[in-house]
Amino acid sequence: MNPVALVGSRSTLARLLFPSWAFFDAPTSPPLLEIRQHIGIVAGGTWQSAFTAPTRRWWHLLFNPMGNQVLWYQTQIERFCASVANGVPGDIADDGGDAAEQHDDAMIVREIAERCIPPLWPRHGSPSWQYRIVVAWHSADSGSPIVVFESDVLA
Amino acid sequence: MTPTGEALASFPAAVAVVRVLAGLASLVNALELLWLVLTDTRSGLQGREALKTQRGMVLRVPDGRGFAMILLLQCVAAVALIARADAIPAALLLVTTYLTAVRFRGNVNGGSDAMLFTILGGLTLALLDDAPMFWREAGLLYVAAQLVLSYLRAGIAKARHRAWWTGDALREFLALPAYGVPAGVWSSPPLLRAISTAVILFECASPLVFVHPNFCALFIAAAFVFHAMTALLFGLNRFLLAWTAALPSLWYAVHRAL
Repeated sequence: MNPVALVGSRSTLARLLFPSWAFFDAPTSPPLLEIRQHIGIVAGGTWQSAFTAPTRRWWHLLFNPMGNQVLWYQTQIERFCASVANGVPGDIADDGGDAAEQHDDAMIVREIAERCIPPLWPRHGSPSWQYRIVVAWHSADSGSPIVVFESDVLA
Repeated sequence: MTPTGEALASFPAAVAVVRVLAGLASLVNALELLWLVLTDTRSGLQGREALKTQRGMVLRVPDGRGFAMILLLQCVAAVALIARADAIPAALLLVTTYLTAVRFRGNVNGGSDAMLFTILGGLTLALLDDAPMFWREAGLLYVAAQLVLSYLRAGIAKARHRAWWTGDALREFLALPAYGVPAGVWSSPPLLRAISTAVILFECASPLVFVHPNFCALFIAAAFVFHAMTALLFGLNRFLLAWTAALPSLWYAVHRAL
């Protein structure tokens, strides 16, 4: 059995059994997923938030599946940011499960971004698009966000 | 103390309230995921290739229909737990909650899943009729201890950063599109500073519940309002359900200690 597999399973169980409860412990703002459309070959459109604010109803106080799905998306983005900080995503090492997990993180974030493409974006004529993850907090003085990751232009 | 408050401080009453609320939280969790499975095949939670590989997991959790069966089992166990005091449904919910965590590469919704798992673990122990009373009580007290720790640890984490005291950090989180908080809520810096400071003080004050039952009652009421507000503002319904389910254990623990 792959020893990496044991580590993964145990860490998941450990997080459930012995949670740290240190919510918002990191002194950084939450990462934001942004997407933009590429029109033509050169010009990139304006970056926009991938997530649109979900409409809140009174029953969401008890039952909020779509809201929780978006929160899960956000968790995956934060996880991806952590993996970016720890190494290069997308490189699958021959002997390393960590790199494989980073690859999974990257793939999941890409799929999330793809699912967030607005339906009004034209899907004809070989449209291309791009996604990125930014952090805004520490860049408040400079006025521009820190780009944690930016994808290639995707078809 | 009122007669109702005194009655709720007994071990059977506290276990009963935690049991019903934990069953409700487990039921809602399962129904939410089932709803996503049944209503949206592109929900992003089921068909993802990277999730199917489940790298790093010894335990293989089925996807698609197989996972839906696990969620249905969770619904049945949750209803059973609400209906009667039995350790078996609690233990079943413990397993399905863990399988869900494996399926989603960790918690679906952060600390709320961890808190529910903690409650179900303690509850399973507390519901074991044949077990010595020491261990049954330990199950409930474990939940109470984790509950106090959850507030205290979160409070200390916030208190360490100036941005939380000034309200800047809260504004950042309120502005996160994933939460969908109306823009007007984070536009007033003094209000944000006041709310942020109040949350830090509330969370850091959690160990003081053991000073007097009246303070404990006040704290529980404040905690419920706090979680209801986060559910309303952030859409964190699972936090409301999970933490509310744990609160009766604190009431019991305080009366056990004093």
